[in-house]
Amino acid sequence: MEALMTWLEAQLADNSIFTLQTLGYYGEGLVTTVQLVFLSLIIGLVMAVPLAIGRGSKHRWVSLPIFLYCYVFRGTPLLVQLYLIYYGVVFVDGIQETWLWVILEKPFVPALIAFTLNTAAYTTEIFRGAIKSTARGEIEAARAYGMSRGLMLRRIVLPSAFRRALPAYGNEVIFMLHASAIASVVTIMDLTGAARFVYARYYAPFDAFLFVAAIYLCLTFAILYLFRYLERRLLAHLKPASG
Amino acid sequence: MIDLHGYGPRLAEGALITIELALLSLVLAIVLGLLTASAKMSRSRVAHGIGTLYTTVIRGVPDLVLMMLMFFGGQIGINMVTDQLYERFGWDIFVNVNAFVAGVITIGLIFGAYMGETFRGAFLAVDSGQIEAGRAYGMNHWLVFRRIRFPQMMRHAIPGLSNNWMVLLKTTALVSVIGLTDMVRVAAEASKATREPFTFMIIVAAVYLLIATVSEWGFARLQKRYDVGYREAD
Amino acid sequence: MADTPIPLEVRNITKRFGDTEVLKGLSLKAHKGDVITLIGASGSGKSTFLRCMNLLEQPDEGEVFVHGEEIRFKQTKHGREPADWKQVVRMRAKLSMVFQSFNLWAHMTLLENVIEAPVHVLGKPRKEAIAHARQLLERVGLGEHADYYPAQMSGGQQQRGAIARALAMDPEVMLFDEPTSALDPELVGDVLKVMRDLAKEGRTMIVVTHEMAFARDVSSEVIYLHQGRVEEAGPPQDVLGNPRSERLKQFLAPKH
Repeated sequence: MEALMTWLEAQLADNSIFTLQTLGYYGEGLVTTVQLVFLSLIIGLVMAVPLAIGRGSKHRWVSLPIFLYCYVFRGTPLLVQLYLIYYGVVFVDGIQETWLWVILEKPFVPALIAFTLNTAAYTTEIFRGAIKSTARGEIEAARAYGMSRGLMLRRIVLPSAFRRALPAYGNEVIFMLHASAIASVVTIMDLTGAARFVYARYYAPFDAFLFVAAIYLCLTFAILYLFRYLERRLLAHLKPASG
Repeated sequence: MIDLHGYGPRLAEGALITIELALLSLVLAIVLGLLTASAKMSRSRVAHGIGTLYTTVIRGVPDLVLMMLMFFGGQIGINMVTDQLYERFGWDIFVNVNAFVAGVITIGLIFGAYMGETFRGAFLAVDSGQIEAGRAYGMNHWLVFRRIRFPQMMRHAIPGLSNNWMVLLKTTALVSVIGLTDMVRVAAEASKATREPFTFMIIVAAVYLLIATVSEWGFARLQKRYDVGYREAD
Repeated sequence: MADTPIPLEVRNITKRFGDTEVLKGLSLKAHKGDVITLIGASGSGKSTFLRCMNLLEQPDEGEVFVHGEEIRFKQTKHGREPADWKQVVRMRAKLSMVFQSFNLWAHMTLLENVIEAPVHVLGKPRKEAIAHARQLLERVGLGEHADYYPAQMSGGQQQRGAIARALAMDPEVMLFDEPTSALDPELVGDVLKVMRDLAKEGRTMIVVTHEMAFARDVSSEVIYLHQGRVEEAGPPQDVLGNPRSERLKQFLAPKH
């Protein structure tokens, strides 16, 4: 580790911007971005499954509110949602005196809430599309073999829908990574926040933003390859046998 | 009635800026998209390479980062060029990067990449027999493009186009971060000043939903027009 | 007779789609070991009749008995529905169906398809189900294909796999809904051979089919449906060998 540090220091010696300190900012920013994106994706995913099932419900009092939720959160900019939740929380009368303030004081939690609600809405629609496109015959076979609604959902409909949703969900993950850049607007020191800080400090927009763009590009490719791998593994059954 | 604390007119101006920005970027994005699609489909390896690099990089980096690069970097870049011009030729030019122009260029550039993919897919979906038939009747390359490929391609492109437009519309909100007073920025300022974030943000959200709903309706009509001759007999 | 309940009996089944009555009071009784074939032109209602037997379609009138137990119905605002879906689910597990378009579950391998319902519906131990499934796959000539996904197999292989899936339920009655209609001509033979073997070993089967040779050789009873009514019914040598109605004669006449 120490050898690595001295090597790094030597590499950075004749560089006025990318010092160990600024690289540290980027590093912390990377951690914040990954935390924010990962947490919101996971919670959003968990929310989206029941929402997608409810969205297709015969009862309008179940499906309509979910439809409206998706419509609003997919139809408005994430930035507006973030502002609404961030300022909404900050300006609630008396909130600063309650224990809640301890967690809400940091912009991380409002941002996490906004991102989660946003990705849950998109993911709900992705799953709903995948559930709707389940082959009718497969559902019929499940019914004919004595499966109850719950069992059919759990064993037939959802497993095949999840697989079919994979490519679209991969896009959603990349979308969330990119969208998370706006966290910097509410003073979160994520990757973009770090870049803005470095830019402001050295007035070097190219260095600051091109560097962070390269990091995002790498992350995007990593996600892309992960999903390609998953698709190869999990969607193998849809391809005809080779040869 | 909702009390807007006198922010009403400014919000309306902001909404107008949002719409202008979105429409101008859309035009730029469509032009760039068509260019990119033809570059990626061309036999020239250089054109293909440039097209691929453009779509890959743009789609791999957050919109906000590109926007900041363009806005903050653009000014410095232009200053460097004008400095050179002054030193070498004695031309004294001063160009100030305007946030609106930077916004249009960035958003157009970003969505040009997405449009490129949409158009490429749509062009490839056109039956090659249709094009051959055009050639067989003595149409030249341009005529085939204008009279056969483009109209047939549009039928396949509209769903993607509509989707890109919806995302583009929402992306315009980011210009508020680089200092352009669109409706999101007005609403953010008003929220802070009046401590009533819900009023202003919900109005802005409603305007976005309204534009989205109207455009959805418009695209459905457009699709109908391009679908003529393809609808199956009932 | 009273000590062994009849595996499947339906009485006076009536079914309407909107204003058109597609089944006009059909009855059928399948004793153990019976092979009943339903024939008729398309639109005669034979598939709908079969689907009413396991309640994939809800009959508007009529009774269904499985193993002597009557399915209870109730009247709702959407029409007549089974009163107790749990009863239907339990009953369906005794009748297994083979579909025209196979309907194997695409995200599972062939073996997983075969053990799915035995394990999750009947609650059979997984190990036992797998052992049984391998035997059945061997029987239908797919011993080597256990780990294939449906999309990787030919139509004929998929349909034989679907028959193995049906057998894995140890069903009282097997329902076949035009099992060879979606197959290329050269693949029909293998599937019919499996079905003939099943008939020979005394399985109770109800088969909707266009294969007249199969109907003639294998069935104990042939029912000819026309516009939702039984036009002729009886042993194959009577119905197919000596048709009385003009319509059936035309239906059986060579088409080329």
